[in-house]
Amino acid sequence: MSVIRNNALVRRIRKHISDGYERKPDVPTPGTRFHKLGTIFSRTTGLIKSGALPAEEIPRWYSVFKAFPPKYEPRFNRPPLDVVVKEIYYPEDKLRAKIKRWETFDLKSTKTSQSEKLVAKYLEMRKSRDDDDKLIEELLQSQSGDRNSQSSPGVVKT
Amino acid sequence: MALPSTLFSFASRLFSVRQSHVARMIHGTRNSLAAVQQNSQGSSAAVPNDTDFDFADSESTVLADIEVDDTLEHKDFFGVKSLCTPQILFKHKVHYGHKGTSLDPGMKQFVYGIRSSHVIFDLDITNYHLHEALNFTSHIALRDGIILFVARLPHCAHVIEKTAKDCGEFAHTRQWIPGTLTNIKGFQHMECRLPDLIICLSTLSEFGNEHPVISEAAKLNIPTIAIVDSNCSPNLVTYPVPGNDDTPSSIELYCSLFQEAISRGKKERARRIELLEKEITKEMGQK
Repeated sequence: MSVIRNNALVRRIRKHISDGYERKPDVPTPGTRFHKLGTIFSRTTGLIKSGALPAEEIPRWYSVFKAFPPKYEPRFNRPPLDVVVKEIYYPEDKLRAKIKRWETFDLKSTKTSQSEKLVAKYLEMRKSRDDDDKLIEELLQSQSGDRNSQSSPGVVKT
Repeated sequence: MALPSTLFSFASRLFSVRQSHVARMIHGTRNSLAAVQQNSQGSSAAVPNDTDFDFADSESTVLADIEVDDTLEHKDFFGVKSLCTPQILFKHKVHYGHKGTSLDPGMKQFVYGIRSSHVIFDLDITNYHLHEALNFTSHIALRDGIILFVARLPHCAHVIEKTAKDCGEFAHTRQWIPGTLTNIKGFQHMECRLPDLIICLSTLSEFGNEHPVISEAAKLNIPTIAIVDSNCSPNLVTYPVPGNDDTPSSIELYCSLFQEAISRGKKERARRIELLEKEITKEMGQK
């Protein structure tokens, strides 16, 4: 909107010049909002019942929709279900959080990665032992020891 | 026409590019068909043009099709439920969603949980909805419906267009000008048939808002099947399939599944047309 268009004084002068005729500003038409009322099935059913849609013009999807309706109604104002989205955690996350530096993953390889092996080892040892924190520390130390002997970057010593 | 997509032309159906002559004949009523065939047998090639016009007229006025409603009694007529399993979906990375902060409230029911602030979909639910969608697709293909693939994914546009071409359907993967469906006469300048089913492989347009095709199809009472990611609203979509819509591997999986479903529907249609053709020739022979 330009300044001149919104200016009350300019509008008034224009009205005065044009003998009291005020041109309304061009407002675009709002368009249809039919898609917000009901579903495509209910709207088509209404058209068929009222006789606006003759029998030979019933859309092809109508009978299929009737036989296999979707699980949830495709309505615009369908309220969302009251579902609580949970956070996903696993017991081995404790170990994962302690690892300071992760290895670089090769996305093309299908072999089990070093950290996956570590997690598997942890899960297996966890069954027989009760002290989690000690176990994690031991595992990380052994891992870093292996890394140092191989002289490759791995888990940082704590 | 300077439309960006060359594949987007429903008018080609009207000029019988796809339909064979026999299929067109079957569209008309049987009695008129028999009369026309007798004419052509009696006076061979005398008035071929006139008979062609008769076919066109009968097709436009009478929409009788082959009888296919018996397939609706079967729960899974085309066997699409064996096409995909949660394991296959997991392999193609369908379970990855967007960040948890962008989760749409309508998508909460399809979500398994949030892992390190990223949404993970429940693949059992996805599998159920995908089965629904595939079944619907093959039933529409059996009824000779026009299927339109829509997506605004530049990195997958080629795959989607190739899929549409392979199944003999249509695709629109370029910029969607508002009114492409609702104001189709303004774009095509001729009589057009609108699609009977729209498959959206992503419900987001290039700017991150909802793709206009969803509301346009809803206005025109066209059913939609859409892959809805965690940041999209599934409300207006007729058959929403919750899943990852960004990764090429998952898009390829959806494309191959829908192609298989469409080809199964079309095969069944071809089989039924062949049977009807034989029946008609038998009746002609008896007369």
